Amino acid sequence: MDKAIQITDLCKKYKNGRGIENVGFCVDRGEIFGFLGPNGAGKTTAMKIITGLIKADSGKAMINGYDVAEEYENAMKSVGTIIEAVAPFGYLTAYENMRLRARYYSNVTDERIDECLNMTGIYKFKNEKTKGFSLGMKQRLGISMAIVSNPSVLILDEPLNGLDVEGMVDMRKLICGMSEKYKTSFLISSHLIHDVELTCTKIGILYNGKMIDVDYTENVLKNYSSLENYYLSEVDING
Amino acid sequence: MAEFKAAYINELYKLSKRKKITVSVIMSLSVIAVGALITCTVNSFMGINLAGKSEFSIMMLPVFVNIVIPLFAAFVCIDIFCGELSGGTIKTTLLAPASRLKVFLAKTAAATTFSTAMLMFAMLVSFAVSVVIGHTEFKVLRIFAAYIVSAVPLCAVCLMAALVCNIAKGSGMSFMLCFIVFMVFKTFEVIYPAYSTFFFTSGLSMYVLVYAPLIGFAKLLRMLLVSAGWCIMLFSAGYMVFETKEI
Repeated sequence: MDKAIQITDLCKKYKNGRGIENVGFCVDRGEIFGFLGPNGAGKTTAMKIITGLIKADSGKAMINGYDVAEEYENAMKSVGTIIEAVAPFGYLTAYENMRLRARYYSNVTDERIDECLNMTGIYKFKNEKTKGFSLGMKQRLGISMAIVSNPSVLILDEPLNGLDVEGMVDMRKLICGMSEKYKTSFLISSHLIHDVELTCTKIGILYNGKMIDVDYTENVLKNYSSLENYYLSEVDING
Repeated sequence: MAEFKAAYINELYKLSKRKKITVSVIMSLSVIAVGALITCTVNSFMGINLAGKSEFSIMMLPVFVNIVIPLFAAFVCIDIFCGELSGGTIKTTLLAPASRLKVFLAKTAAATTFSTAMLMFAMLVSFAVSVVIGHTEFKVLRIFAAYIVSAVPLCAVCLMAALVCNIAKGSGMSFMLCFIVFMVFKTFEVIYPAYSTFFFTSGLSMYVLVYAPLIGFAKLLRMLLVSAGWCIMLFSAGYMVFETKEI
């Protein structure tokens, strides 16, 4: 199957001794990959390496067949991201923040910007400066910015952070809809295990910087009553 | 190229939305107004012709290239490097499909554009004020050339500020370091006059060569090349630090 993201033996050690070790997995086209793991397991580190924010000590991250370290622009051309907290420019409006992103793509029009702001439910705040935005509103804006170019790959670190229940349901629908309709591939990290269970088609568990298991949600739910049980069991056995 | 263009427009757009532009305009106008006031007072009441039409524009130039513009260039660099890093918005910038080289180039180009625009604004306003002051002939081309050549060493000043902002941690530390580096080079120019042409700050007095009765083309070319050399070295060093930065 066509690989959207391919990670091979990714290693990164920080000065404090934490980091990731030989992390490897792949995300197929149209797949929604859920990254699970406790705080400090290395999920954000892995995502930062995949998006080129930090460099790996060794290993390779490929997006759409391009090596992120070698061909950054080609790799990131069709990628939307949210890494850690969404940080829009506070002195710009939501629309202006969207324009900053849209300028990199010739096919993104004002109508598309409005459509994305509508999809995430912040169209009515389009002309408001983002410094007054709540965490949830910033998150919605971050998702709008990530999807504005209609990317083939979305890398979302805690995309549901700060969202209300309605927002979470909307985001779940958006993610599943994009995966089905446009075959968009997702790499999502989340602590909300229930949402991961409802959204993701494949699960990877990262524990102490090591990928301890990767499996399809369907298979997992055949053997365990819930994803939570599977996660706790895997951590107990391998961690 | 399209990625650089988008990154450059973004940087200029962000810069245009900051209050620094307004402050820099007010500051420029104030400096020229004070200069004009002093000139008019001396010309009218002391019986000394301090500055004629052309001299006034040239008289204001060292104030701008040595104090006002380097100060604002440092503010702008602090804003686009340290400010984005501390606010976390640098991630939004770096996660766009543009390489770090293009992002760094766009940021430094925006800072350089700002300093050049400020220089041109100072030239136009001082031109306008010159018309009111003095009675000597107006050497428009000479004044224009003097301002234009000053843009090159100011580019080196911007790149030095960009390098310092990428090395130092925090806005306050960056500003202090920018000031210290600038002052150290200025002091060296005085202490070691024989080597002064090799310091990046020496180019800031290049306008003297253009405005002198006999233009020293050879020296002007040498100083322009020295400034260009500084630009290349400072850009490379700044990019090296920016590229290895882990966000």
